[in-house]
Amino acid sequence: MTIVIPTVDTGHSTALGYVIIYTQISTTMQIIILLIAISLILAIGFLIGFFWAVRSGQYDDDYTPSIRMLFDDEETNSKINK
Amino acid sequence: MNNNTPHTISKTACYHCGEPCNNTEIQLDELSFCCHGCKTVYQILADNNLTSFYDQFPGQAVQAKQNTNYDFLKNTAIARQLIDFQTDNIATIILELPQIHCSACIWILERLFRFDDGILSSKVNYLKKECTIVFDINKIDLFSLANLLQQIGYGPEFNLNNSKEEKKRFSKSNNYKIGLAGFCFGNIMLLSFPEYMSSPHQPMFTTFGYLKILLALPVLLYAGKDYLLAAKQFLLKRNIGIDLPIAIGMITLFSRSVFEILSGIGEGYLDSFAGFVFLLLIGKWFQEKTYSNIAFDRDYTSFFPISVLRKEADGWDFTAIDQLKSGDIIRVRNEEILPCDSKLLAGNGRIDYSFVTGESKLQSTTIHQNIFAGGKIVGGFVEAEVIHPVAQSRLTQLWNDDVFQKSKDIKEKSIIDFISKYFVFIIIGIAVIGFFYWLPIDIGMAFNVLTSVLIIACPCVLALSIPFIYGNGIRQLSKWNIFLKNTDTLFRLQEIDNIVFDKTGTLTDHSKMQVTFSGISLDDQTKNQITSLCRLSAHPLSQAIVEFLKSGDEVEVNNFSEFPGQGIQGTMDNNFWRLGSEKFILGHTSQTSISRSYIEFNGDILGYFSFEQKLKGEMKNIIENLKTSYILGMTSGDPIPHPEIDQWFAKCEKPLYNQSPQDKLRHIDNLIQQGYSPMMVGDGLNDSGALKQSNVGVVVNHRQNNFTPAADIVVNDEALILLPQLLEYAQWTRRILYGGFVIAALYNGIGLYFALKGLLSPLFAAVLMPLSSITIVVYGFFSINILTQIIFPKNRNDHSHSNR
Repeated sequence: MTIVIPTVDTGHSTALGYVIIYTQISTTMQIIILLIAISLILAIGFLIGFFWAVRSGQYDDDYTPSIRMLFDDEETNSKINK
Repeated sequence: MNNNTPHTISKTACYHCGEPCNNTEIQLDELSFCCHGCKTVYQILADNNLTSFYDQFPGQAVQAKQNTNYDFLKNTAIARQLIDFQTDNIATIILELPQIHCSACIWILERLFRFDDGILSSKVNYLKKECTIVFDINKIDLFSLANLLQQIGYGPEFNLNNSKEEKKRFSKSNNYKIGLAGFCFGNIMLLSFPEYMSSPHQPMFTTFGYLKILLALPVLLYAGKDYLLAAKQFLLKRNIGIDLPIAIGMITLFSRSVFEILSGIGEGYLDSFAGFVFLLLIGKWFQEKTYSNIAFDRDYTSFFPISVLRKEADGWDFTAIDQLKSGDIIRVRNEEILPCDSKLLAGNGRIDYSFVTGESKLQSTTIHQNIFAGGKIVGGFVEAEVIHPVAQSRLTQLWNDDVFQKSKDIKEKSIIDFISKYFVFIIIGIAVIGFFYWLPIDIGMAFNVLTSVLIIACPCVLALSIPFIYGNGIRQLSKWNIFLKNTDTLFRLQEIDNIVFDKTGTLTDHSKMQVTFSGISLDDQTKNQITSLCRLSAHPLSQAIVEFLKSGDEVEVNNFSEFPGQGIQGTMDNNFWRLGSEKFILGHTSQTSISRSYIEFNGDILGYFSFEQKLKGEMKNIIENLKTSYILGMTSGDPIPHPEIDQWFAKCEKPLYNQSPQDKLRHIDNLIQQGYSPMMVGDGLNDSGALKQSNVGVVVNHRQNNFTPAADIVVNDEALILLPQLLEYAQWTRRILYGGFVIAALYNGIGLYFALKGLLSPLFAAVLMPLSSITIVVYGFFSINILTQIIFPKNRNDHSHSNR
């Protein structure tokens, strides 16, 4: 069993090698591959966002905010009553 | 609620707390208040322009009742210890406020900054009954903060329990793991997708393969860390648990995939692998999301005070109790708890050992006598020399005693361990047979079959069935105010065949001592004076009188003295008052079964209070109901048999009276020796040893934040009548679990058939494994929800988060 590594003509850099392979495959696959690359980058962004949310304590309490949002706006309310 | 005016509230209800104002109505701004505490809070709110509170929450506030002395917070060293985070000027503290019970509490506590400039922000965690307060230490110190909170009815509770940090860290790390596993799972699946779609192997896929390995590595090493540790445990200690077959499956899945990708044979099973870890973590999260407002893991440290007055070279100062050394001289004031075993030097206080022994009889003290940790000082103060530091005192040793240390591990998880033990052997057996069957035909195929079997038979479904079936069961029960410590409790509940009740708090209504007064009619001034006198005594009857009279004004009492077990006396406004038993006041005893407390004013007898501990009538039916299928017993610390209870327990085990905590523990121990699986139902204080020793300890809770170190189940007072339903529920959850096992076996059977034929493809695994997991999750949810609806009465639906 040999380990397959994408190789192109020697003399090119590896990055360029990928570009050459990329141009050789079908258009449909090209699009899928491109989308996957973009989605991976996007998803890393979301993952960092999630870690930040956990770190900043947004998951510590998942009940109180549901009550808090039901409070009347107290400033305007007290004016009406006066 | 814009048109809400004070007049919409009925005249006799307190404007602040909504309790009916008896005869002690206090008027202010044309509003009525039931006591001075409530009036004060109203004034504070009015001064700070916060009266809109009453528009939003008419009559829902907390009654300001307590009277804790926060002097120890003046000591900067102690205050420092309590503050969670501090920079130069700004400090953050998380305070435990057990009074939090409704949305009004959140409203008022999150407007603390209106009361004092120094408070920058405050945020309530409703379920944990905690409030995080950020304040400027130059403008307000912890002492003033605690007093402010106490004034508005939320006196914070301080204790040295520092386990909450750990819990938080755990839940956070689990969240990280779920996030990471979910991310990797999704992306690996996307990367696998092109391979499933197009048949010829494209060179690009190899790169994708490396990317997948890169994504799968953190799943194995971080998210799945606990399972790898289980495998290590097995290698070191030969422990077989459900985690071991999971670890085998995980490692096989990962290494075969990496091998396939690197050698270019195939695309690997990394999507199944990550998805599988992700689902397991979700199951874990589901199971371990417990009720943070009920502390099952509290120990003696939460019972002790946080600090005590110690004699220093230049007078008395507060010292944290863990700093105490033998030979230190400490002063414990009225109503405080002695933190360590000491020798009495001076003082007139008496000691109430009810927490340690269960007797509510006060013990008088003499100089040079040894007094023990856990005793509450009543009616005075004591000065004492420390004999043992806190960690070595007798009470602490009791907690460190065998009973409390011995975990219920042996009995725990019995079913699942039993299954997984055989499971491991059977799966490895099948895998090896498959391997040797294929070996002469095709070596590659033989390895393929070996790994396929280990992958497909991985007990993912088995591991998920318990968190989802039992975890959901526990959640449903919490809606009926029955709180189980963990899923293992549900297992042990199924084995129960013997139930022992403790009398106090379970069969009798502790909170509702029925008090009646016979004699002259009492005017307000007299009531105030009697209340003031009774406040100085911690005796349950005195407390009951205070509760009964509901009087607000304090009168100064001089020459107060308490005669343990007899009565109290003191001088107020130059009048001499005495209050106590028949013998104490009249000098003789008559033959009445109901206890009475006579009141004497300058030698004249004004009348008497009579007290009756009410039996919970509804418990009679419960006992009748349980009698048919369980052996019932009763223990009580009371010396005298209660005829009505004896009647309730007719044809059961003979009720046991005059039982010390040790006797109760021994009784449970005997039952276990006889081969029973006993359940103990008690109030959690003097019967904690018995509760801990029993297979399932049920604590009946009157106050949410009670001290329940030994409990497996905490039920609210009114939920105790659901005990028969709870036991039936436990039986049914077992049957549902077996149903889950059948589903797991079916899926594994299908998977094994393909695996043994060497037909397992990555796509097949990627569909079958999540499908089986989802089936079990859905099954667990629906069957438990249906079961809950069938077993529990329907009209109690709105119980869990009701306002009052």
